[in-house]
Amino acid sequence: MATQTETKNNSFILSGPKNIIYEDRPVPELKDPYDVLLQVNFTGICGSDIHYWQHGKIGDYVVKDPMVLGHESSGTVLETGSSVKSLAKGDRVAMEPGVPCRRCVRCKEGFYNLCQDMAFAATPPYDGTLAKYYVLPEDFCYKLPEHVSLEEGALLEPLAVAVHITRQSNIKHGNTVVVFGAGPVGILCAAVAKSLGASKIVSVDINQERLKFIKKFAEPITTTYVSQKISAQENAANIIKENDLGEGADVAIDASGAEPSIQAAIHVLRKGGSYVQGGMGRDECTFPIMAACTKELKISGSFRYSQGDYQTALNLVSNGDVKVKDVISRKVSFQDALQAFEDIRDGKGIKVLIGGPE
Amino acid sequence: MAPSSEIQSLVLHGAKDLRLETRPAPQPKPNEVQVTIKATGLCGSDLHYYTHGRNGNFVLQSPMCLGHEAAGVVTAVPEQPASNDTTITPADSSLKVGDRVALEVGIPCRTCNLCATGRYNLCPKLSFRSSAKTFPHADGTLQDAITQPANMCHKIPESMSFEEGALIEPLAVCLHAINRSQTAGSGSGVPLTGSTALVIGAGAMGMLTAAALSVSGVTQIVIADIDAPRLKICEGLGGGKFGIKTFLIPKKAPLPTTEENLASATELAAQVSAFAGLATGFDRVYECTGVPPCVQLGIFASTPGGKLVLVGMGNPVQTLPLGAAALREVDIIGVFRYANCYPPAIQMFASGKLAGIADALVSHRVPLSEGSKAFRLAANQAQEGEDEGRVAVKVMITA
Repeated sequence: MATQTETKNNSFILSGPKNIIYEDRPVPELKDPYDVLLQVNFTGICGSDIHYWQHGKIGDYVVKDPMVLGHESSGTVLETGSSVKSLAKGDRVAMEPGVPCRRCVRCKEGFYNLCQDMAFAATPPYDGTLAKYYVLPEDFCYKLPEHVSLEEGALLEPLAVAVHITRQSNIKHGNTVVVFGAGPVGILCAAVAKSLGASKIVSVDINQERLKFIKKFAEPITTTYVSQKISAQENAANIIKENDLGEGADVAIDASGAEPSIQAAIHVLRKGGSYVQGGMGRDECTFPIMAACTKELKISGSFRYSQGDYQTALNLVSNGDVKVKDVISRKVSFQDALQAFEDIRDGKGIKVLIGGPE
Repeated sequence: MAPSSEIQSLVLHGAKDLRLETRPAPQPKPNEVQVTIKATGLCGSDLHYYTHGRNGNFVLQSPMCLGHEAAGVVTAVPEQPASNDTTITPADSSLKVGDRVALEVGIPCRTCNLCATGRYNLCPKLSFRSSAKTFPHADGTLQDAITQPANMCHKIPESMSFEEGALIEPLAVCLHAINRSQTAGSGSGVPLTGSTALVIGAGAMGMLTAAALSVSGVTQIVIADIDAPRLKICEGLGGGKFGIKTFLIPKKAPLPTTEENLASATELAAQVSAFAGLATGFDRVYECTGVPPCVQLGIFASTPGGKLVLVGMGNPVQTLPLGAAALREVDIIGVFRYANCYPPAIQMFASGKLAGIADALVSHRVPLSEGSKAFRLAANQAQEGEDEGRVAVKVMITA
């Protein structure tokens, strides 16, 4: 393994399931006049990175060739293309890691997250951001104001996911919200829901440590519920009763991917309520479809983020509405990146940041 | 608090002819409650009736009490209906004597198509207190006590004052406008969070709209008016943490031609947009004056694809640059009162996010017995010294 001082673009690479190597990759070049060359400063780890590491694939996305991992990053501008107007060398930015084609039907309709040819960092076959350098178009870099740190900048990616999920629910001021799953995305969904005016938020999980954290993070309107090994209807009834949710919650978000949570979410909603599937778990599950039908629930999926979500996430951090700093459990150096992966695999901490190579 | 058998009512007999009269206290019928009124805010429509004996096309046909922005306390509930009386539907048994409530005073028919599709504010048979639109007129809340269907009395928490309770009605108007700026027209527009909004008119409605927008996550709010003292109050709203920026519109006499007036409005719109650092205008504009040059400004200051909400009720017939709106897909959205907005309005106050708003907006408090003074203050026609040196924003009659 080459040491950092000898490499040009040291990269953290998945070469096969459970097999990580460091390799020096070519420094990426500016290809388009709107491109920006960035030095990556911090990268957070996501469940998908862990999944590719452990299984070598997620659904149909299979890691066939060695691939650089990571996509939740912040960086500093080194070089700008000839048409770049809003960024200059030295600017600190949050990096939106998925560049759509801008030409397909979905892109032109306004749903670029659903682009047919999306080039997303660390989704095969595209390399991720756990390297020294990365190139992005100007409009996928969000300049951080003075008072927002690069560490916080790396949290904008999961926060943008949470913003998108919450927007999909069409949450209105005063709504009651139940979030299933108190991992990073669930935590951030609760915080976003709070800033969008939710009157009550109930966070549900089996992990009491995480529930303790989320209760403080989205206080004072957030309460918690520990899922029990009873039927989904009973868990839902308990949640409603313990939190005075009346006929049921207005909004339920699943940020767990777990079947019992998905079922309980459907049962915890009032008639006419909204359900959003944000969490990723097994491909198929047993779903209370008749409850969804007779309660006329609005059911949406949610995938990554689209126009405006990253900016909204930046606004929420910049205003102090969502204190993402509190979600950072630990920072490790680039050389110790594997430790971050092991921590998250073992359920330790919430968000671990990996520093960029020096 | 035992209800007395007689009450005082402030009755309008004609323009500027208000008389304090004694009446028997109303007794609640089944499904109603008796509410002793603690605070009523005065609205522009009340002022029109007071000043002219009419509000646009609605002319006073018989003596009527004004006032509809009210909060009070339940002082009597009906006796239990006879157990074998099947003509009486179950009353709302959740209200008890002593409960503090905000009053929603427009009673819809609940059976027409509009009521059934959630737009009961537009119900043609809706009977609204203090409005001469329907006859016989339903008396307003400028009385010691009224009776009201229990399901149109919304409980307010102990943490809310009666003055805040009396602001629920105008806040409901603002929330309805904000809802319509997200649901009406061609799609919901950009999410409120992080969006930009221009409020034209710094009266009570403009101020409440700006505050509600801030609480709803809009990050850039500019409020514009010709009156500097009102703008000063806006700057201080929410202890300054609403981040509302103010823009003083230079007072100008209308120019001789329509073309010149529209050119002037276009230029003003460019200045306000530049002030906010916006290249193409605001995502949403809430016009809270009804004055034609302001509505014109509203159209020009909207970004393409934006939304202009007409909150202010002014001239019903206006000359407007329709092309500038239509060809840029700026939706022009009308609003009338509110539907299902009392609960979120109460929630907004109960959350504490509007702390200090009542103190900022309620400029004058007057007892029922001095009702005429309250109307003079609200109409900016106060006698010498009556205004105590404060600009009238929301004048309330308080018990």
